Amino acid sequence: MSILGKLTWDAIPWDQPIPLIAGSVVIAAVLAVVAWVVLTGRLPYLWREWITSVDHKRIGVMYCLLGLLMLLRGFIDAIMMRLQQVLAFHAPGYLPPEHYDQIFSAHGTIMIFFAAMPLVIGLMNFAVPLQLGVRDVAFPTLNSTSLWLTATGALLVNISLVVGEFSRAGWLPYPPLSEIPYTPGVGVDYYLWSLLISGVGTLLTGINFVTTILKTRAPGMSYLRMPMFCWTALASNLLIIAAFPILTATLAMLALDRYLGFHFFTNEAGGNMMMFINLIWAWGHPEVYILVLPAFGIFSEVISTFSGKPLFNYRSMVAATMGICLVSFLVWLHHFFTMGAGPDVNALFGIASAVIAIPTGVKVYNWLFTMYGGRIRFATPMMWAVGFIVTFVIGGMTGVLLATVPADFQLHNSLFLVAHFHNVIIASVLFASFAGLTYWFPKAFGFSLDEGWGKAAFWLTLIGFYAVFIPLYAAGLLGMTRRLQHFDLPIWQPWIRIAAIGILIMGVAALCQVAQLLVSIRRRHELRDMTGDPWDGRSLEWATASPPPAFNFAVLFNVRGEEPYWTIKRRAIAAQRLPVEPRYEAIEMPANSPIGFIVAFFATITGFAMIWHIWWLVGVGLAAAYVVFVWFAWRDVEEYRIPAEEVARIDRARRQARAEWLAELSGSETGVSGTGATALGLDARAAGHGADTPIAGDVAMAGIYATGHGEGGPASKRVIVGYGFWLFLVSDIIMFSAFFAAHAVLQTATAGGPSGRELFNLPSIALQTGCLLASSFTCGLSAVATDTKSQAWTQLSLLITGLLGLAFLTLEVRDFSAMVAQGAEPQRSAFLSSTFTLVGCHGAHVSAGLLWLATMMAQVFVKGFRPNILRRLLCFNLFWHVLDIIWVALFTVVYLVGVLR
Amino acid sequence: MQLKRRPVDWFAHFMSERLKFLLAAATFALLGLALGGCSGGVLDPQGPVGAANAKILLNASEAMLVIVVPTIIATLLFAWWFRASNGRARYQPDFVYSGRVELVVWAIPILTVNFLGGVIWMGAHDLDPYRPIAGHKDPLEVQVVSLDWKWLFIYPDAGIASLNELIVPAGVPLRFSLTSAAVMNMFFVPQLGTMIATMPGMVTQLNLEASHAGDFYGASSQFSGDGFSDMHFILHAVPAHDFALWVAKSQEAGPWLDRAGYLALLHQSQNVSPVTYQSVEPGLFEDIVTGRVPLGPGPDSEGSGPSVRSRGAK
Repeated sequence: MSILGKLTWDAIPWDQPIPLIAGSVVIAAVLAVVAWVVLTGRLPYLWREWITSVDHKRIGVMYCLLGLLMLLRGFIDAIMMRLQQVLAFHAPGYLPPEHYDQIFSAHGTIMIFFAAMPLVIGLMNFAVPLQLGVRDVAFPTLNSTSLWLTATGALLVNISLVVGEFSRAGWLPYPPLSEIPYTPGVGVDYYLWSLLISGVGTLLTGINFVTTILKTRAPGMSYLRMPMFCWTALASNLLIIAAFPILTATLAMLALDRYLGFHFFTNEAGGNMMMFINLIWAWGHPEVYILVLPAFGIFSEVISTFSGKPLFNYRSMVAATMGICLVSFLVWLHHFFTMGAGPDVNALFGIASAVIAIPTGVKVYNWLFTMYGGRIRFATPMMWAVGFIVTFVIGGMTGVLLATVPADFQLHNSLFLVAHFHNVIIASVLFASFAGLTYWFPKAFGFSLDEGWGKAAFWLTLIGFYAVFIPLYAAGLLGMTRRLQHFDLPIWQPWIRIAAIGILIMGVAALCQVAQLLVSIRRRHELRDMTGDPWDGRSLEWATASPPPAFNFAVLFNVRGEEPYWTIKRRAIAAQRLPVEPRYEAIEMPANSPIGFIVAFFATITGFAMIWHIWWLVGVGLAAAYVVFVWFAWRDVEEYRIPAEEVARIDRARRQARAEWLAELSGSETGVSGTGATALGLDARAAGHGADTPIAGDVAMAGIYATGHGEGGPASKRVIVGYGFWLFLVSDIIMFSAFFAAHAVLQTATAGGPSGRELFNLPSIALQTGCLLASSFTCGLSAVATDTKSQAWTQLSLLITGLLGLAFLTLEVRDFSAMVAQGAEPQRSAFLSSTFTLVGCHGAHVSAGLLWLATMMAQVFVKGFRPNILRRLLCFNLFWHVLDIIWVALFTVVYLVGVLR
Repeated sequence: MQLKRRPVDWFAHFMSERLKFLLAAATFALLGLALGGCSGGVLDPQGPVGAANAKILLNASEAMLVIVVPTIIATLLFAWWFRASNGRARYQPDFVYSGRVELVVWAIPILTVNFLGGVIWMGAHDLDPYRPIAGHKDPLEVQVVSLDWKWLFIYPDAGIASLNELIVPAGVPLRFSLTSAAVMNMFFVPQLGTMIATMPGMVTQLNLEASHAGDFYGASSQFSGDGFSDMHFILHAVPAHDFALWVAKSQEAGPWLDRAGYLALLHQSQNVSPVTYQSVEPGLFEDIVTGRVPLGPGPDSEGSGPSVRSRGAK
C-alpha cells in the first residue's frame, strides 16, 4: 500500500470526457470565484462576516446558498438521466451503465441530503429565532459547525466527480449490491463518509433547534402562541434527533462490512441484508417528514400572510403536525411490501401509511379555509402555495395508492413510484423552499425579489413538473421500472419523450430563477424594503428591520397572543403611534468563531483519507480534531457586547422608518389611495379592523416590550446547556438502540463459529461492571465536591473516576484480545461482528469520555470553577451516567442472554 | 413602485389570468389519457392476480378522486374568488375557527382512510403472493434464480430449465419459488400482477396465472448493478397442450446445466440470449438457497484485489 493508499493518477477519469469536462468547469469556476475574492481584497470580510459567523441569519443564508448550488448540480444530473432515456430506446444512449448508475445515485443523494436538507435547515435557521422573538439559537457555534459539516459532505460528493467515482448502488445502497464483492470501488465509500459526516452536522442541528424552540422563546410566547413554522420546525428537529442516529448506525455497520470485513449485511457468515433495508427505512421514512413538515410550516405562514387572515384552526394544525411526527415512525415497511412479509404485517403498515393522510388532509383543508374569506394577494410565494396544494393532493393520492398493498405489488419500483415521490417532494419541499426564499428574502437582504421573473419561474416550473411526471406516472402504469439505462419496449417511448420536453421546460424555469436573482440585485434600490414589513406580515420577524441587526431585537417583546406582530401593528395603527421608546440596554452576543470551519476542514481530510485508505492521514485528521476540541474548550471570550447607545442608534433608525410608514398610512386612511399602503397590501378597513373602540395611545401601546420581570423568556444558560446535552444523550441512546436491534437479529447467526456461551468470561465482565458502576458513583461525588467548590475533592473524585474507567477499558480490551486469539474475531460471524461493534462502540464512548475527563481536569485545575466549566462538569456527569445505563443494557442483552442462550 | 412592463411581466400576467384553468384541464386530460390508454401495462392484466390488483388500484383511485378533485377545484375557486382585487368577495378576517368545519375536515379523511384501510386489509390478505390461486388445476412449479444479470427458470418436475425466457401453460396456476444467486432482484411480469423480491439465501414465493396465451414482458424491478437494464425476459404463455409438447421437445435436445455449467453462469454477463437446458442438476435450487454452491462472485477482479476504478469500461 502506497503512502496515498488507493489513490493513484488512475483515479481521475482521463478517458471520460463528460465528468472530466464537468469537473474542469466546476474547478475553474471555483478558482475564479476564489481568485476574485482574494484579488478584490474581500477575503478578510468573507472570513470575518460569513465563514466564522455564528449569526443564525448568516448561517441560514449560507445553508440556502449551499442548497441552491447543490439543487443545480442535482438538477443537471436529472437532465442527464432524462436525456439518456430518450436516446436509449433500442440504443445504448450516451451514458454507459457504469456512469448512468452513478448519475442516478448522485441525483438522489444530492437532492435529499445536500439540496433539500440545507434549504429546509437554512430557512429554519433564518426564520425560527426571529419568529420566536429571540436573538440567536441555543448553541450558535454548534450551528456554524453543523453548516460546515454539511458542506463537507457536499464537497466529498462533488470531489467524487473527478477523483474516483460515486456510488453506483442507488441513493440508498442496498446490500449485498453495496458490499465489497459486488461494488468494490470507492463510490460507496464516498457515499458513506459524506453522509456519516454531514449526518453529524444534521444531528447537531436537530439538538440545537429543539433546545432553541423549547427553551429560548420570547417572554410570553407559550407553545400555543408559536407560529406554525416554529411548530413544524420543532416536529422536524425532533424527528432528526430520533431518526438520524439510526442512519449513522446503519451506515457505520455497512462501513464496517466494507472496511473491516464484518458481516452485518453480507451474503456470508450469517449477515442479514434485510436488516439494512429495515434500518435504513426506519430513518428514511421519518426523513421524508423531516423535509415535508417545515415545508408545510412555510406554506402555513405564506397562506396566512397573503390571505390577510390568521391560520385557520391553528390548534388543529398543531395537532396534525405532531400526529404526522408520531405516525411517521410506524410506516417504514411500506417501502418493501414486495420483500415477502406476511399479509398481516403488510396490511398493518399499509393502513398506518394511509393514516398519515388524515392529518395531512386536515392541513390541506385548513389552508383552504385560511384562504376562504381572505383577501388574497398573489405575490410569488402565494403562487407557489396554491401550486403546492393542487399538486400535493395528487401526490398524496398516489401515495395512498402505493400504501394500498395490492396496488404496490404492481407499482413498486416502477416509474409510478418515482413520479409519486417526486410529486410530493417537489410540490412540498421544493415549492416551499422557493416560496420561503422569496418570502424571507427581503427580510434577509433588505430588498425584494423581482416578481415578474419569479412568477415566470413559477409557471414554467409548474408546467414543466407536470410535463415530466404525468408521463412517468403513465410509463409506470405501463410497467416501466426505474433506473433503466436503456429499454426496448415501444409503448414507453412516447412518455419518455414528453418527460424530456418537460425537463427542458423546468430547465428554462431554473434559468428564470437565476435571472430573477440577477435582475433583483441590479434593481435592488427600486425593490428596497424600507419598513421591514414588506408583505404585511403577522409574526415577529417582520417587527424588526430588513435586514435585521445582529441582535435581531433591540428589546425583547412581551408576547400576548398567537400573532404578536399583527396585534402590535394593529394597535399602532389604531393609536396612530408607535410604542413608547423602550429603555435600551447593552446586548451580549455570541462572538464569531472559526471552530466550525476548522472542524469541517479536518473532517473533510479525515473523510477523504478514509475513502482512499490513507491511514496516516486519518490519524492526523483525528488528532487535529482533538486539538481543536481542546483549543475551543480553552477559550475565554465567548461573547461580545453591543453598547446601549449602538443598540439605540440602530433601533431608532428602524422606528423612524416605521413612523414614516404609519404617517403615510394615516394619510391614506382619509381616502387618498396612497401607494404606500396598497403596496404594503394594507388598506384602511383591514388595518382598522378590530380596533373599533378607540383607546388612548399610551394605554394601547403599553406592555409590548418585556420588562424582564416575571414574563418568562429564554431559559438560563445552565438549563439550555444541560437540556441540549440531554438531547444529545437521547440521540446517542437511539444510535445504540439501532446496534442493539442489529444484535437481536444477529445473535444466533454464529455461522458455525463460537457462541456467547463458549466465549464470554463472566467473572471478568462482572469486574468490569463493578468498575464502571463504582466510577459512576465517584463521578457523582465529583458533582458534590464541585458544589462545595473544593478543588482537591473534585480533582480526586474525577481522578478515581478516570482510573476506574481505565481499569474497565483494560479488562475489556484484554477479554476481546483473548477472544481474537481463540479465533473468534469479528470477521468470523455476524454474531461476533455485532458483539464486537456493540461493545466496541460503548468502549469508544468510554475512551472519548476519558479524554474529555483529562481535558476537563486540567481545565478545572488551571481556571477554577467558572460557570462554563461548571456546565461542562454537569454534562460530563450526565454522559458518564448514561454510559453506565447503556452498559447495564449491554451486560444484559449481550452477555447474560449470550451466555444463557 | 411602478414596474416597467417587460415581456417577463407580461408572461407572468398572462399565465395568472388566462392559463390557470386551461392548465388544470390539460393536467386532468393527460391523467385520463395515462389511465385510459394503457395497453400492455398493469392496467391491461392478463391473469387473475393482475386483474384483482388492477381492480383494487382503480377502486382506490376512484374513491380518492371523489375527495381529491373537489379539493383541487375548491382550492382554485377559493384562491380565485377571494383574490384581493375582487370587490364582491366578503373579507372575513375573523373566520379562524369553526367547530363544524373542523368536524368535516377531520371526518372526510378519516372516513376515506377507514374505507381504504378495509381495502388494504382485505387486499393484502386476498392477494398475498404466497397464497395459492384457488383452483381447478394443479399448479406448475417453477423455481426462479436471479443471477448477475440473468434469470434462470428451473422446472423441477420436468427436470429442465431455461435462461432469460419463461414458457408456461396458459390457464394453469403457476407456483414460483424464488431466490437470488448474487444480489437482490425483483421478479415482475407487469401484466400478470404482483412482483416479489429474490434474495440470496432466502426463498420467497409467488402465485400467478396467465389467463390467455400470449407473450408478456417480464423484468427485474430492483436495481442490481450495471447489467440491470438487460435483466428482462419474455414470458410465453402457451396453450397447455403446446406446453407439454415444448417440455417433451426440450427434454430431447439442448445443453445440460450441470454444476460446472452453473458455476460458469454465476459470472457477471449481460444481454444473454435465451437458452433451454434439457437437463438440470437435481436439487440445484435448494443447494443455491442453502449455500452449498457458491454465490455470484461479483465483478471479475483482475487479480489485484478490489479495483479502485471500475468505471473505465466503454
